[in-house]
Amino acid sequence: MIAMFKQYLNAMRRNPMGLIGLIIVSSFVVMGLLAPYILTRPEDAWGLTYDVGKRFKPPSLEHLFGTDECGRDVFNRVLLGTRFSLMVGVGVVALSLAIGIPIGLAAGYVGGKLGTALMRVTDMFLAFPPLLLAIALAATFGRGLFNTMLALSLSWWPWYSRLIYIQASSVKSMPFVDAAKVVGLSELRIMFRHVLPNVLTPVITQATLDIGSAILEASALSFLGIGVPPPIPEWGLLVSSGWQTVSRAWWISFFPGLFIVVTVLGFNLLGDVVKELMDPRLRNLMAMRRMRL
Amino acid sequence: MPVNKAILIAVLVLIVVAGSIAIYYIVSPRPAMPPTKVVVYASLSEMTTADPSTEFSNSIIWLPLVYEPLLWYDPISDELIPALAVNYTSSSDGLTWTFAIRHGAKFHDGTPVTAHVVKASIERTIALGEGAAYIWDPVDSIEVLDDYTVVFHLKYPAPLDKVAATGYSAYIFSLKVVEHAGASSLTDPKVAEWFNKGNEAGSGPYKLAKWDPESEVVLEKFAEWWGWELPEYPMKSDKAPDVFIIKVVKDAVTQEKLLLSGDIDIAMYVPLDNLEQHMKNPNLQVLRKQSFQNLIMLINVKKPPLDNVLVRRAIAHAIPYDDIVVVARSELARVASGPIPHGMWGHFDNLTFRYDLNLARELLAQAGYPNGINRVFILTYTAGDIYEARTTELIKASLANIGISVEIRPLSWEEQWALARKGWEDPGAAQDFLVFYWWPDIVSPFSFLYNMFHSASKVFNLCYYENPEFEALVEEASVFEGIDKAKALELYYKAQKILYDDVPATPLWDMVDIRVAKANVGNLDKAVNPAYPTVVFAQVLSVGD
Repeated sequence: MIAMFKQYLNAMRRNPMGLIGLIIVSSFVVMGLLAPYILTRPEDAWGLTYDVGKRFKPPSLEHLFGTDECGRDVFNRVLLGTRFSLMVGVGVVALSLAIGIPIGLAAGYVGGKLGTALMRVTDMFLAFPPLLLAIALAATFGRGLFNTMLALSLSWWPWYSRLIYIQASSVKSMPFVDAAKVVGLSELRIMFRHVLPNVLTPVITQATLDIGSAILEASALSFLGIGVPPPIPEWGLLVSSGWQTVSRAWWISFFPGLFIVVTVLGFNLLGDVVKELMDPRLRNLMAMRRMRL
Repeated sequence: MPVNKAILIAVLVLIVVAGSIAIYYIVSPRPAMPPTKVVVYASLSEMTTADPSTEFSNSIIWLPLVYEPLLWYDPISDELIPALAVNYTSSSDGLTWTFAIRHGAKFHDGTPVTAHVVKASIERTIALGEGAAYIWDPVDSIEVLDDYTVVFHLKYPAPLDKVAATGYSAYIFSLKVVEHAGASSLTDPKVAEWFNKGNEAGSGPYKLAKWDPESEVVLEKFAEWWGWELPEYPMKSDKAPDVFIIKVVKDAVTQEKLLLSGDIDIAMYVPLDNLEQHMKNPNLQVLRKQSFQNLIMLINVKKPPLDNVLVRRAIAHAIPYDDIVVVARSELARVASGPIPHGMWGHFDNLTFRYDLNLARELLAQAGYPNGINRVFILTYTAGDIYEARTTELIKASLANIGISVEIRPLSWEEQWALARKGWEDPGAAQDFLVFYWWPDIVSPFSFLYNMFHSASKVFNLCYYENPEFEALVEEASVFEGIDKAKALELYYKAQKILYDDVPATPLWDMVDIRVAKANVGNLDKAVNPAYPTVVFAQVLSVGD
């Protein structure tokens, strides 16, 4: 454990951008967790109120990010939105892993007809452009936080099951699997206790990178009006609500947009470090490069 | 060689002649051709069909320029303007209507407009029975007295003048369509096909020059239109555009950009919150006009506790109407007073619910809910409509003040409607509140009161309201509308008063329509008429050189 932590610290030292990513992501996570408790205007944030006299006020000390068309404080709404956007990002990736890993593992390890069948189903999903499939699904399910996550996950899982499948089908012929079979372990146990840990690496890397994209796509759905319903302050929805008035009140769309950009950037930087950390070859390569410099 | 020499000389002569002609054309002043005046109008929606008998949707934006009905209706002054009919009379029992047809009017194919054609056109519309054909329901038979006189015999009294001035299904077209389409009769489906290929057979001031329903419709001036010659005719201008283009631009933000860059002349919609900026812009004009479209919240009167009239009244008094108009429409709407919009005949000013939270709480306490109601109420609206979205957000926020919690559900219109229609069978399965727009087909209070509140209208009475007294009043009023307008008005008032007391719905706001155009497009105000929503009557526009 300590060794891993040390390794991680080393990776961070080698790659300061990763440290920035970590700082960004962790501060957003903290912000998302604490959001309901640090809001100065919770009613504004949840969209439970309005104030006709305060519409379209530019950013000021009183309203850091200005006010929107209902006279609500944009800062509070964006802050609370952190929670929903992160929830969607992490939720989508988690759900996709939950669907993708067992399918990929079964297809790769068992192989044969079952494997072929499972991978053809996966290919069917892969045949659609992901965002398009998500749009179609979201439109069918109706609006809602969970429905949005579900729609995105259903268009997302095939990538993971492909990754796992490729790994698992090579790992299954390795000597340690044969050894486990000889000892008499059950197939399920071999699959999950012996094969799975050895195939997870690329998926975890990919998942870290994907959280950012999931946030982005969820925002896209909300922007199109088929994602999270108002008045939940999801970032994409906030951008969309200010889009019509952007020439008059840029701040309504700008700040949630900025938050999306920074979060996605944070996850990407972090993902790079995780990739480096998880891949021994790459890790050594980077270390060598460092030394030569 | 002599032959070659001759050819050489001939070629040289040709070059010289051609050259001098070319130089002459380049140097000499060209004959003064009047420049073509083009006006481009951006529409938010695609065109639908092009059959003047059955079209009941977006194509109304150009049909009234190409086709003409017997009369036009100016609802602001409550006056009928002659179109293909010069004048008309009705019998005292309201059962016989005689129209005198205009001499000298002709269709774009050259055939004259006669009483016979009028009868055949309307009979085709009735026979097909699609679109707004039901407007002709009172008609029993149509009789041609002579070439220029047509008589309508009715089954029951009705205001046939307004019916004849409807923006849908009231158009007259040339009978040559049968020949053009290679059809056996007017009702042959081949005729509709012929229309939908982009052909027309109208008599209006503009001809259909290009029909591309998904991107643009190009209209060209019909020089032989009878109206250009009449000096006093109100529905024309001497400086009307030669070419009028309706361009499909599906969102308000893009329309705004195109208008500012000069690519279009008139925008149907721009984001309302930006209007103030445009009003200050000397190159633009902003037209605001009361429309007959209103937003209304229907209450499910059969689902407890909303079956209690006190609860419904409490809700009606807990909605911040003034604030909604500001936030949702940037003040481009008027707080509704009854279901009939401002400016329309049959509207009364004393039917607005007062926003008073204390009164609302008191009413709720009387109904037996002193601490609010422990249930989440479902409110549906049509997803994608930003004005409805903002309106419902404010309703939710405000009803929370009296202990009523609302869940907002944006649905597509098909979903919203399907859910709502379940309510007649099983009120518990339907929504509690439904927000939607209404606009009239025939400009009469009847369109609002019958469709949304009469129990025979199961498709649009989505509050599931049944009240025999109210229904009798509305039916009677409609009969008197053709005979005795004062009496009809009195009955319509009584009917609306019942709705005010029973609260099957709370009308929210009456839309003020806008058009934003370049400053040099004259007469825009005259060219927009709330009885014909989305239409810009191009023949009335005045464009400078």
